[in-house]
Amino acid sequence: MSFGEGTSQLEDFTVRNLKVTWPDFSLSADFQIRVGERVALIGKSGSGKTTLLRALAGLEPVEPGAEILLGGRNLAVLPAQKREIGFLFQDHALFESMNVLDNCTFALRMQGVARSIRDEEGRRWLKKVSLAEHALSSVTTLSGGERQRVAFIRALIGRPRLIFLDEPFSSLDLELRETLRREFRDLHTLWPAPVLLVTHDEGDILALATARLKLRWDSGHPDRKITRELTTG
Amino acid sequence: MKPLFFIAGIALPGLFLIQGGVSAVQAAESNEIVLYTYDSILTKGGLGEKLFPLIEKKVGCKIKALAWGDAGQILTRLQVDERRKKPVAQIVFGIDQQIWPSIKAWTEDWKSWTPKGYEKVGKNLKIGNGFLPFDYSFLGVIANTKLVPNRKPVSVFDLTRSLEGFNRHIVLEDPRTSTPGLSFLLMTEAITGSSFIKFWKDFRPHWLTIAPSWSSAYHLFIRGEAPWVWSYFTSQAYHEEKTPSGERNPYQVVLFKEGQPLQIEGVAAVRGSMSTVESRKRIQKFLEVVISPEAQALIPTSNWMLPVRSDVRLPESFKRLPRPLKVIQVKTDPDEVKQVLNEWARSIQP
Amino acid sequence: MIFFSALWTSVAWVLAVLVPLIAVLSFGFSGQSSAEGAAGFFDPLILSVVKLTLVQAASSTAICVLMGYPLGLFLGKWLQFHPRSRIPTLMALPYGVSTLVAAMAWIILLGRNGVLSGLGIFPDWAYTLKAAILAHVFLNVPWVALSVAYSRTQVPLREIDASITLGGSSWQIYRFVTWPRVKWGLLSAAVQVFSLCVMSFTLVLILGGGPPVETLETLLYSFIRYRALDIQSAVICGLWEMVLTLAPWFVLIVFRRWAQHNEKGLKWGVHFQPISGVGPPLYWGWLLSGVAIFFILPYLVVFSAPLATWHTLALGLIRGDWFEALVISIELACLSAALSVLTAILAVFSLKTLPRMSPLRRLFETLLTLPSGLSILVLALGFWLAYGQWVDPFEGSLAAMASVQATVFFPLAFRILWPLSEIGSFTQLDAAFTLGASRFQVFRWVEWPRWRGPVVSSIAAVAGGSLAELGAVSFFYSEKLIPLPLLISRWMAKYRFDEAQGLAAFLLLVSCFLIFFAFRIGRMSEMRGVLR
Repeated sequence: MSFGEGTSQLEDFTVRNLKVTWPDFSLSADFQIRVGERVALIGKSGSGKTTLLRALAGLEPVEPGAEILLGGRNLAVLPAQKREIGFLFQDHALFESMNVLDNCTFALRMQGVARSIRDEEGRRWLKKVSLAEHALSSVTTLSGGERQRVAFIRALIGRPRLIFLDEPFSSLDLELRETLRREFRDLHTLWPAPVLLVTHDEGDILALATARLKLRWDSGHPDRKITRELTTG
Repeated sequence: MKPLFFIAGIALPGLFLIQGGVSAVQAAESNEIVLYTYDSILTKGGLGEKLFPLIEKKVGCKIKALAWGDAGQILTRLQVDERRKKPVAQIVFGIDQQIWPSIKAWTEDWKSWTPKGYEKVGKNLKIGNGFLPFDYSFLGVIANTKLVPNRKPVSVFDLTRSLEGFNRHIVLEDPRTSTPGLSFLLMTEAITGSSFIKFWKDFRPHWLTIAPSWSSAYHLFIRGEAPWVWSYFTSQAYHEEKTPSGERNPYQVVLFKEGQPLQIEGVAAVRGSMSTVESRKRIQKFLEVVISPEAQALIPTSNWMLPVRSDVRLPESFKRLPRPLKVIQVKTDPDEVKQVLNEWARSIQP
Repeated sequence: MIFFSALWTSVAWVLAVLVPLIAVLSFGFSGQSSAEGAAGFFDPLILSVVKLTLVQAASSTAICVLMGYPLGLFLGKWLQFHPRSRIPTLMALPYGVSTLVAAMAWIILLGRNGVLSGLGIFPDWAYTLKAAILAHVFLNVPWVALSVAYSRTQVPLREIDASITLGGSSWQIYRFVTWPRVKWGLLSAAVQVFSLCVMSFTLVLILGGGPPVETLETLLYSFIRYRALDIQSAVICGLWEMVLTLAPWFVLIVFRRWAQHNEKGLKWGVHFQPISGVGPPLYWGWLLSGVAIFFILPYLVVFSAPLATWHTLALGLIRGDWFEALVISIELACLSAALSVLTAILAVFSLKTLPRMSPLRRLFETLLTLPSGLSILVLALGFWLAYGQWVDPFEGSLAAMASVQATVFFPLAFRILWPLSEIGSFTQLDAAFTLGASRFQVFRWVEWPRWRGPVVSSIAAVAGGSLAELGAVSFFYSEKLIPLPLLISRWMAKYRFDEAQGLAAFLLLVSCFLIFFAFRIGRMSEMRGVLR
C-alpha cells in the first residue's frame, strides 16, 4: 500500500475539557484540528507545551472527564500505544540498539507486519529521503539532519491518525531546516493527518502552520489556557 | 512473571529442607551405622573404599560415612549435633590421641568389654578405654636426598642453623590447623623445655614456610622447594612403593637424636549409640572388624600408615622404615596445648 | 512488580547477610561481659596481625596504583579512539584466575626449582610477604588500569582542545581537565583493591609462608579450623576486617559527596561516544596489548605439567574421575550466577523508584554492597550457625554453597547492572509506546538490548568467580558434592600433584574464558558498573 492510500480513514481531532494538573500549575485546553491542518502551539518557554503533547499522547495523566476525540473515538480512555499518534520527539529518541531500517519500521513491527514487507516499505521511505545506503548503519553514526529524517519516517510510516511534532528542527542549520520543512509539507500533502506542532521558531510557523494555538499564561496565576487563534500562512 | 518469582522463592528454601529431611530419614534406618571421619578416608583410593565394604559384609550393616575437613572437625561436628539436639553418628573414625582428651566426653567407653584382637595391639598404642587404635605412624623429617645427601640422625637444635647450603631448609605445617604441625610444635616444647621461645626465635629464619596442611606442605617438598619436610615416616614407604624398580627412592627419613613423636589414629563409639542391645552388638562387631587381620592388612597401602596389630604382614617398604631412637611423649591436655600454641604464636612475631 | 522486587531484595539481604552476621556475633560473644568482649579486640596478637594486614594491603594497593594509574591513562586515551579494542578484555582476564591457581603459578615461578631459578634469577621471595604482595599486584594492577581507563574515556576531547587553544600546558590540562574526571575512578579502584587485599586468603596463606606472615583472614581461618574452634576470636578477626574494608569506602563516599557538592558545574555520567580526529599512534595498541599479556603470563606456567599428566587427565575425564566434580562446579556456577544476578536485577528495579540523591537510596545502595566487605569465611560460618538447625551442612548442600557465593558476588553483579537504571532514555520508551508497543514489547525491543550485555556479563563474571571460589565450598561440601577447586586440593593430599596442577590449568582456562566472554559481551558498559 503506498503512503497516500487510505486517507479517507483520517478524521478531525477535537479536544474538550482537557485538564492536566501539576504541583505548581494546571493546563486546560479546548480546540479542534481538522484533517489537512497543521496547527502550531506557541507560548513562553516552560509554559507546558511539551506537557500538553505528552498528555494528548497518553504519556502524562489527565483529569477525568477529558475528551480527546478522533472522529468518534475518545482517545482519553486508550493507552498510549493504541492512540495511533506519530510523535516526533525533540531529541529524536531513536533506538540506539537498532539500525536505521529497524528504527524506521518499528511501528510496522508492532503492527505485526512481516519482516520482508516492512523492510521493503522501510527501504522505499529511506530512498525517498536519500538515506537508502544507511539502512543497516547504526543510528549513532548519522548526522543531525539524517537522524531527523529517520525520526520522521519512524513517526509516519505507520500511517498515524495524528502527528505531533515537538521542536522538530531545533538543532539544525537554516538550509537543512528549509529542506526538511519542504519535505514534511510534501509528505503531509500525501497523508494529511491533523498535525500539532510545538516550536519557538517563527520560520517553522510561517512555513508549516495553517493555524495557531496560543497558550495563555499569566505569571503568578497557576492556570494556563490554550485557545485557538486564526492565522494566515 | 510474578508467579515465577513466587515459585522460586518457595523452591530455594525447599532445597535446604529436602536435604535436611533426607538425612534424618536415613539415619533412622535400623541397620545403618553413621560414622564421622575425615576427608582422605573417603577419597577415591582411600581406606574407606576398601574397609567399609568389608565391615558392611562382616557386620551385616549399611555404613553411611560423613566427612568434613580433617579429624579436628569431627569434634566440631559432635558439638554442633549436641547444640542441635540431633545426634546423628554412632561412630567417629580417624580421631587421634591428641584430640582424644577433648572428644572423650562425647564418646562411649567400653566398660568391661574389649574387642576381640585387642590383645594384638601394641601396648604403647593403647590410649584408653573407649579409644580403639587402628593405625599409627611416627612423625619426622623426610629428606630429599638428591638435595641433601645426609641421612644421619640430627639434633632438633640443628634446625636453627643453615643446612648444607640451604638457609631455609624445611617445610612445616601450621600447628593450629594440622596434626603433624601440632605434633612438631609439642615435640619441640618437650625437647627444648624452658628454652622453647628462644628455640623458635632462632629457628624462624630457617623454615621455608609453615603450610596450612600436610598436603600443601608435602606438595612444596615434592616440588623441590626445600630439602626437608615434616611428615609421616610412612611417606618414605609410599615413595619406595612408587619408585620404579632399579631406581633409588630419594625420599628418606632422617631421625632426630632426641626422638620422634607418634600419631595414633583410632575409632570410638559416640555417646548414646549403644543404648540398645542390638546397637551395642552392631557397634562392638564394627570395632572388632576394624582391628581384624583382614582389615588391618588394608592399612599400609590404603592409608599409608602402620597397622596396630603386630601380627599383620607388612610390605617390604614398610619393614625398611627406621625405628625412632626414642619416642617422645607430648602434652595432650587441651589447656596445656592451648598455652603452648599461644606462647608459640607470640614467640614467632617479628 | 516494584513492590515484589523490593520485597525479594530485602528478604534476600536479611536471610543472606543480616541473619548469618547476627548468628556469628551472638555465638561469638555469648556468655561474655562487654569488657571481656572489648578486651579481645585489643589482644596484642590480634593487633599485631591487624598491623600486618594494613601494611600488606597498603603496600599492595600503593604499588597497584603507581603502576595501574599511568597505564590506565594511556589505555583510556587509546580507547577514546578505538572503542572496540580488545585490550580491556585482555586486561580483565586476571579476574578469572582462581587464587588457588595463582598461588600455584607463583610457586612454580618463584620457587627454588622454579622457572625464574632456571633462568638464573632467584630472588628468594617465595614464602615471604613480598611474594604475596607481588601476587596481589599482578592480580589487581589491570583492575586499577581499567577503572582509570574508563574514567579517562569520559574526558571530552573538545575540552582538551579548548584548553590547548586557551594556552594550557600539558600539566595544566591534566590538572584542570583530566584529573577531575579520573580521580574518582582511581580512588574507587584503590579502595576496592585495598579491600580485596585485606580479605586476601589463599595467596597470603600459601605464598606468605605462614606465621608470622599472617593477616586477619588467615588468622580467622586458623580459629575455625581443626581443634582450635574459637568462634569468638574468629568473630573479632571478622569485625576488624569489616572495619578495615568498609571504613575506606565510607570515607570515599562522604568525601565524594562533599567534593561533588563543590563541583556543581561538572557533568557526570556522560555517554561514551566515539571520537573523530587524530588519535594516539598505532604502536600504543601493541604496547598496551603487550602489557595486558604481561599480567596474564605468570599464570600460564600452570600448563607446564608433564605431557603424561594431560593424557592421564583426559582418560580420567572419560572414566569419570573428575567429570562429576566438573559437573558440580558448573551447576554451582549456574546457580550462584542465577541467584545473584536475579537479585541484582530486582534490586535495581526497586531502587530506581527512590529519588536519585535521597539518603534512603544511598543507604540501600550501601547495604546492598556490604557483602563485598565481608569475609566469605565469616559469612559461611554464619550460614552454618544460623541455618544448621534446619539444614545438615555435613550432608553437603549445593544450595548453601550457592547462597553464600551468590551473597558474596551479588555486589559485583549489582555494580555491573546498576548504571542501567541511571542512563536509560525515557523518551525512547515514550517513542516506543506511541508507536504501538505494549509494555512487554517495549522491554523486549528497547530496554532488553540495553540490559542484555550487562546481564550476560554479570552472569559470566559471577560464574567465573564461582568456579574459582574455595571458601564457601569448603564449608558445605560432602563426599558426593566436591567441586573442582576442592578436588584439586584433595588430589594434592593424595600425592597426585601433577594431576592437581593439570586440573588447575583446566580451571584457569574455563574461568578466563568466562571473563573473556563477559567482557566481550558487555564491552565498556560493565566496566562502568564494576568500577563505580
